[in-house]
Amino acid sequence: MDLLADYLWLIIALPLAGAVALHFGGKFLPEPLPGIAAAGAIGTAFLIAAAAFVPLATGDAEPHVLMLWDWMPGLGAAFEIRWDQLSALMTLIITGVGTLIHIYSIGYMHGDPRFSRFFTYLNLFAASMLTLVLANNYAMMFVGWELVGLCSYLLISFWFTRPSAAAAGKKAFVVNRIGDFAFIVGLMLIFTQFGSLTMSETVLVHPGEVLSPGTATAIAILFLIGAAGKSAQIPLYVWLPDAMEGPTPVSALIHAATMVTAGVYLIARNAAIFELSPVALPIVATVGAATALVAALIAVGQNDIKKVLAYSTVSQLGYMFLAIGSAGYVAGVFHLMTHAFFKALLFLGAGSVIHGMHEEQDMRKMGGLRKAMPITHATMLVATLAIAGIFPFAGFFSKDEILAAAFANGGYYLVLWGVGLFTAFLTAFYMTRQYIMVFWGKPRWVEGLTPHESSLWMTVPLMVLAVLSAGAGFLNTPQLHTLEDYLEPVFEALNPAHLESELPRILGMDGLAFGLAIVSLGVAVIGIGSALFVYARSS
Amino acid sequence: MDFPMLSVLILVPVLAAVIVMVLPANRTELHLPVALVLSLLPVGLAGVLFARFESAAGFQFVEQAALIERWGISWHLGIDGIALPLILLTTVLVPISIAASTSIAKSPQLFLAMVLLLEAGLIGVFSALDLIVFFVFFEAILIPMYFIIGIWGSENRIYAAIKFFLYTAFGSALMLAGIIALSVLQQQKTGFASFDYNELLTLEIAPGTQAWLFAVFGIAFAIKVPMFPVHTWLPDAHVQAPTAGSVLLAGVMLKLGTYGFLRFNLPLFPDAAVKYAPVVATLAVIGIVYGAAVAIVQTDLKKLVAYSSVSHLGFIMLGIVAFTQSGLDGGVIQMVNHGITTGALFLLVGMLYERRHTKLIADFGGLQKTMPIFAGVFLFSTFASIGLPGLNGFVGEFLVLVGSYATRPVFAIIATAGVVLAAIYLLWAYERVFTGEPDKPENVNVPDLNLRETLIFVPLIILILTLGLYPKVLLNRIEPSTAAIIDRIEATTDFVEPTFVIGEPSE
Amino acid sequence: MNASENAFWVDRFYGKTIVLPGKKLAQGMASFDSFFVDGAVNGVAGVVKRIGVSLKPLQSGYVRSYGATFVAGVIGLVIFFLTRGSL
Repeated sequence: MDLLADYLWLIIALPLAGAVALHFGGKFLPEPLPGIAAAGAIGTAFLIAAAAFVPLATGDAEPHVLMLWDWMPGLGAAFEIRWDQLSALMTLIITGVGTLIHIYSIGYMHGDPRFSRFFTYLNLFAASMLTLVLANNYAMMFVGWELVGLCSYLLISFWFTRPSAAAAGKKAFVVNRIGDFAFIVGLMLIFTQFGSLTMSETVLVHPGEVLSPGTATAIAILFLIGAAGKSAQIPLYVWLPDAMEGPTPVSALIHAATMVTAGVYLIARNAAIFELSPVALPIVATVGAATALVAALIAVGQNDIKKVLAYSTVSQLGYMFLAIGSAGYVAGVFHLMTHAFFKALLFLGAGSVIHGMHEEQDMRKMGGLRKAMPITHATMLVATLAIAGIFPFAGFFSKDEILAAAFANGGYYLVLWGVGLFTAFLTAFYMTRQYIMVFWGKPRWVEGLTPHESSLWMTVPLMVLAVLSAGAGFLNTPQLHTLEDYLEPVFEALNPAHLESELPRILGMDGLAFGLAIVSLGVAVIGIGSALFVYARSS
Repeated sequence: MDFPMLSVLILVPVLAAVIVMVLPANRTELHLPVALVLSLLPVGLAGVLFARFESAAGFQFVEQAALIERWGISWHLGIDGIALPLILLTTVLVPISIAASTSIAKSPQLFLAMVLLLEAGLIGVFSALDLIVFFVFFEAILIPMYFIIGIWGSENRIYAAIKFFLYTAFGSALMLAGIIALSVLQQQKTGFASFDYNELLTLEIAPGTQAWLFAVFGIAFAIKVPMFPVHTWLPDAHVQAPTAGSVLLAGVMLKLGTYGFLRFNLPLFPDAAVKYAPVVATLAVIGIVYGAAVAIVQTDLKKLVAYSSVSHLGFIMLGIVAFTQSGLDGGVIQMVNHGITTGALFLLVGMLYERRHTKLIADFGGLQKTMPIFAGVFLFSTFASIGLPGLNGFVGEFLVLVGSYATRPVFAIIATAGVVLAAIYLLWAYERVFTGEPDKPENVNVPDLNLRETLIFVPLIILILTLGLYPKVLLNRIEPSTAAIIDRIEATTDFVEPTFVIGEPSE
Repeated sequence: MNASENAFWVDRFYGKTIVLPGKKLAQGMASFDSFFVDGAVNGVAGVVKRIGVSLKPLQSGYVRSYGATFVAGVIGLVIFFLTRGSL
């Protein structure tokens, strides 16, 4: 079954080759060939990843490391791929959602003079993101970390003749660099402590024997700052709303589903270090909860359809940080996955709306679109219910697990749980507000506008994502913990220093877990109800 | 005796210069192609050096012939893993500079000859193992560079040339005194005079004397680097110099300073080196942050790149005085990297100047629309300079930062801030020059890179990627030589290089 | 609602507390560079000029006096080193 083990590099190499080929040859291909080529490259990578994932999931294959080449031997920096449960799951999300967004972009970017260049960047991004998650070496991870930043820069300022787009791209890169500063210092500490940058020789083996709590705290805080840059957390979140200047598929792929989750991945990957510190995880959780709340409060007041989603993304990433900071690693990764589905869907749906409305983004000039764009409407409704946390859509399960994890820690974490719960109310509120403003009420369109449904290139990915947004929650329910079991080998050794390990006991009490679920569902329903009350009446 | 590779390598550009000069003056269409073809010969020879170089400590391709026996001066050449990359860099940058010099109108023959003579001098400096020979080459290259700036520079060229000349002459005077003092010491200790590098290495110099000698050599080299606060000749020289001059000045000549530190200051005066390293490191870190901060607000594109050099050279110096394997390796490889990326940026600014006759950032805007290939190459070079991993600049910076963190953590952390600043000044400049609509009428019809210009960048881009992804091609050859320097420092002082072993916590 | 719509004015806050002061600081350093660091050098050069050394580059008298100054300087330095006890 391990036939593929030596060929995992293809997962990165395929989209990279696509990018290189399109860079030099793309302009000779007519539309939509560059898009099909790019989608084919990442789609094939998805198939390979899926084929390699199956034996890993069934237990027929063990996680393993594939050495590619030595980079800076003196620092133990090398290009080496780590194929374990966590990196495999991330790879599937990136290539899977990535393929859908590539296909969608064929329709969305139709007619753009730099059509093929767009796909060059998109493929390059996919290769970079895969480098990030597949790295078994901090230096290689940093390569991916920076290259996704580069692609983000290139794609945010894709329409470079717009000064606002160019400025937003630069802002994103510079703010991220502030996080990178901390990341680099963290790497210096890792190397001087462990004598290597290979993960399977360092944090994944024996961090407790090497790191003192103080050093562990220092590395953890530095990594948190790095993660806050990439994953748009307080105080470094300010670049993400501006990043909406990029074409909408970019917002979906990079600024919702994949790149911005790199920080979550970084902390999950290094959870062993965070757990050695008495304060690191509570700080992560606090940053997460605060970001979730602040961003949700801002989302309520936005009128630009993409800005709502941007702040919503910041807020949902905050949830993931809250989960990880509560030692709910599986919950964090679970939400990362469901969020990738429903937020990608929301952005792509928004893109479809913007397209149908001829580049209008102001929701005050929309309304009543459900008849003109039935598929977009239906899929967006699914995504809205998913993010709002309505049973049985995906977001309900993952968000509930996060809140349960926070609650289970007790003490100070009860405050964070409360914040998370209130944010759940806000989330349901602003999403319903958006849904009503766009699809219901009387049309407030600019005169002469005739909105239309988008092409199949765009609607088919919407429908696939809608199915995932509706059903992915069942991957991990209290009764059916498939994801939990799957990820167990990655997180089993962890034992957070700041917890008294009450988590299993409290969550083991089915009654309590059920009660918490009812509470968060109730909050979501109240959120939707309030929004209906305020906005449905007025329109 | 083996074939005198290094002497030949020095001689070929000299002969090339002579050939270019004897070409008929009215056949202007011949001058540049002939010079270009001839300048490719050293590239081939350097390639042979590279291929036959063994990854080991000590000097290779050594040749020695007495010049003035009574004073112990000899034609002693040889290269180690520190000199080899710099010679490669020199031979690669010269044909590129020549190919980029098509717009030189005033006596192009003389100009090309000067560039070739400069190349000979640079190779001579990097291969000299006799201090007098070194000094002669060190001074000799001032002359062609002085003329390149003074004759073919822009409006303020005379001021810049004299400033450049006086600054370095001041350092040279100090260094010559140091060299003479060294040989006098040698004579006192051994009874015979010698300027031979290997001979002088065996001298045991009293710490007090080391301090003085370290200072005089150090000041001479610090001016060349240039280190804060003796850097102010650099922006003026760059702004006034023609493109080829800027490329070779930033690409290679600045490395004479960092090379000098590695070749002389550390091995000859290890005691003083350890003692005064904090001073050097402080100035290096100030240079990193200060150079970057000043670069942010520059209005002239060339000046911006010049100040970015002050910042980048600070990284190299920080790595050198870290006294760790990674620090020194990073310093050496960063010398090459900076030569390539900054060379590329100066070439680009030069081509922009040829088209628009201005270097002021405010005069541009929206150029990505009118010249997309140019913009792409510029952005690529920009990210190499910013230190994007996967491209060459990162390798050097990262080695330097981790290497210096081991011995000087606070310095390393402050230096890391330079990484943030580099993104600010370069991307902000890119934004103002290339993005937006080309709203000024002069910017609407600027021609994109032509084939010749595109080809100039091909070798540079290949090098940026190769050294970024597989720096081992150089690191393998550099390491034994840098390790020897650290060994020497450890043997003669109480400095101990911190080592990091997998599984064993440090401190 | 106003606070929410304007994202709590965080961008404006960063602009006033970080971006603007940062730019001013960089501007200040650039002025410092041209007036003080470079000014000191040019000042020294000016003094030398006033003493009587012409700064015209290719004038033979200048080259000769440069050479003479250079040699004298080197000799002086060597003597200085050699007369120090530690040598």
